[in-house]
Amino acid sequence: MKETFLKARVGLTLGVLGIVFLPLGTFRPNRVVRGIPLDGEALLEGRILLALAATGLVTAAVIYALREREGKLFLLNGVPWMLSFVPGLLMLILSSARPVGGNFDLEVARMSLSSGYWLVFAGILMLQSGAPRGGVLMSLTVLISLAVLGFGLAPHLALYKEFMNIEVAFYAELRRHLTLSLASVVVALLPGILLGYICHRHQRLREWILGTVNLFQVAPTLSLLGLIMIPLTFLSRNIPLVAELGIRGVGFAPAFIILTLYCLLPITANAFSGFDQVETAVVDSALAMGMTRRQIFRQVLFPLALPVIFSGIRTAVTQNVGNTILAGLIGGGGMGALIFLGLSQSATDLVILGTIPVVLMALILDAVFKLVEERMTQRAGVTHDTLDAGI
Amino acid sequence: MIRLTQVFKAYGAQEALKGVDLEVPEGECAVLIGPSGCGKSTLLKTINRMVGIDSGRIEVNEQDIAGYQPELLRRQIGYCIQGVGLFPHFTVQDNIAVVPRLLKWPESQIEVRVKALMEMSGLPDAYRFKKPKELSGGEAQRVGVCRALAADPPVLLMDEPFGAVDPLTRERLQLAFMEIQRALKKTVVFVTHDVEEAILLADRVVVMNQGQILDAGAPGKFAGEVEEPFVKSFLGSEYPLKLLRRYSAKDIGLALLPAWRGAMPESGRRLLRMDSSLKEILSEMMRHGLQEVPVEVEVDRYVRVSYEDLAGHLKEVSKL
Repeated sequence: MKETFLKARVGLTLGVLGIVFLPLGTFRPNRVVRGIPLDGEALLEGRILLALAATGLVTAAVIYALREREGKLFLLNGVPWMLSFVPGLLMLILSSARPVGGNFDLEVARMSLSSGYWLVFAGILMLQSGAPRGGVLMSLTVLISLAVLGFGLAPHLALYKEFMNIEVAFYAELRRHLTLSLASVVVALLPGILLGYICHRHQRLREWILGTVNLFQVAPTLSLLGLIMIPLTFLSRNIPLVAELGIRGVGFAPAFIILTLYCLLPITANAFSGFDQVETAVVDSALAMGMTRRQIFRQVLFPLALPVIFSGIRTAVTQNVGNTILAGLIGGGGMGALIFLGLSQSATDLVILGTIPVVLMALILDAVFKLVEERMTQRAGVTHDTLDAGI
Repeated sequence: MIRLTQVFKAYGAQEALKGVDLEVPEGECAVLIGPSGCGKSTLLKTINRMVGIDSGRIEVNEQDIAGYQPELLRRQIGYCIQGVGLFPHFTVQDNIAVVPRLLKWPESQIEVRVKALMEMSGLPDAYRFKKPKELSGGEAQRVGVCRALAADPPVLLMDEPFGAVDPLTRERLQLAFMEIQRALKKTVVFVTHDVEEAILLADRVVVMNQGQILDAGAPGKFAGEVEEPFVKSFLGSEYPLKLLRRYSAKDIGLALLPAWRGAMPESGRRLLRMDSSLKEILSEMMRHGLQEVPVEVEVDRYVRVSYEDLAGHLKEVSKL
């Protein structure tokens, strides 16, 4: 079966499961009490027009997903586009929905998005990923949902209420998160590339270096955090200068150090294989023409290895964005601070509020770096240069 | 000129060069030939200090190379290897300009030089801005030769430069190189394992085995009796036949030959001229079962070349 149809059918299954069997939202009279789950049926009760529209859209989606051949029917091909609005619309509907018979204080009452909602969201993304221009469609879906949240169009959603509670802190932690994950990569760049070069030049040191950086990578990040707290605490207690610099066993410093060590592996390993994949004949003839080692590195090895090195940097950045969450555990800040706060208070919405930006950051940075990487590969002449610069 | 005196080199227990003496006079092309692993490439690389030697002395133009900083020495020695090793991210022009730029030539002079070299090696001017990926194997190899010649070095080292291209292209490259060498008269050390290539390009053939030079001399020398058993078997029993390709009709003193008296060559038959190789002439005799064939010396004037003339020429060069 063609991938488009397969993805559409899987997506449809997920969505239908979410609507039929799981609650879309959970209404909580206040932040702490157990909520009342609301499923699709409860939402549509008494809203005839909405029910009709929903039935129509689901039917269209079923026909879209179950057809055997690609049709030219405009309406059917528009289904993935129409579905882009669904998660956002659901937010609007859920925000205004209330369980029947109850008197709630709307200042503190809130609607959490539940498993069914997220399943529908995932199903739609899956269906769209198989459609033509899937990337655009998926981005559109996410952007619409974000807009609904960000512009306060769904004020009674728990996600929004949590956001309003911590708005200032949210942006501060977001900045902190980005700083931690990007700055640690920047700091690891020079040693990483240098180590990669040493691996390339000295076969004996290679195993030692790669083994060591690999150790940082495979050791559980959490245990590394624990390990580094001990020497840092010792240092800050015994050497006044260290304490004055604000370095302690907890906080920014240990998180930063661990993240830096952690992204050494992708950078070092990629730098090494980047240098190593440069043809021996090329390096030999550079040497034979009288280039010094430094000139060879700058003019030949580095530019030719750059695309591979860059893809290592991309790996480091994306994995670091995720790992930075752990900084929250030791007072290093970042979105992890929100997530772990949410976990300790059993406030699922706060956890989600902390997670969504991390996922988005990772995806966006990955896409941007990939784009730059492609450009670089072309310029390095590694792929065939279609640009004929001849006169 | 290049002079090696008692050069030794070992890699651990493996002796790569066991006391090599070699002298290449100015403007001559010495071709090192031997089976793989015989040390010919190692020997070549000692001359620009890509390989350091354990003992012995190497002089280039009367200067001991040990006294040079390796980078400065290498910029004065052209180098050309199999697989070319062009920089894939540089244009053809920038590839050729590497050594002149290292020597800090002014850009205007570099451009003039690049254009001249490309014209000499038969590369169209528009190729200057192409990347190596866009060139054929033969074109890339030509660029490699241009690059080696760029800074006009007196000495040229070539390590199986035409090894990786198809036979037809190789022959064209060899002829182009011969022409360039005739014009520029560089002192060349050329490594190959192809006997025919050695015969064609060498002023002096140097046969190596197991880190030693077994015999050296003009290509003709090996057409006669060869004593050394390895040299004899390596050059092969067809050596005289291969040697015929090196010479053309004009080398055998056509002026002294009698005019052709028999019937004129039938139409459609290959016309042999002054620049036909002796190998072609012999082939023509065999093709038609003849002892003698006509060779055109000028328009409508033919001389008679016989089998004895060919054999006599080989005998003569083998005595040189």
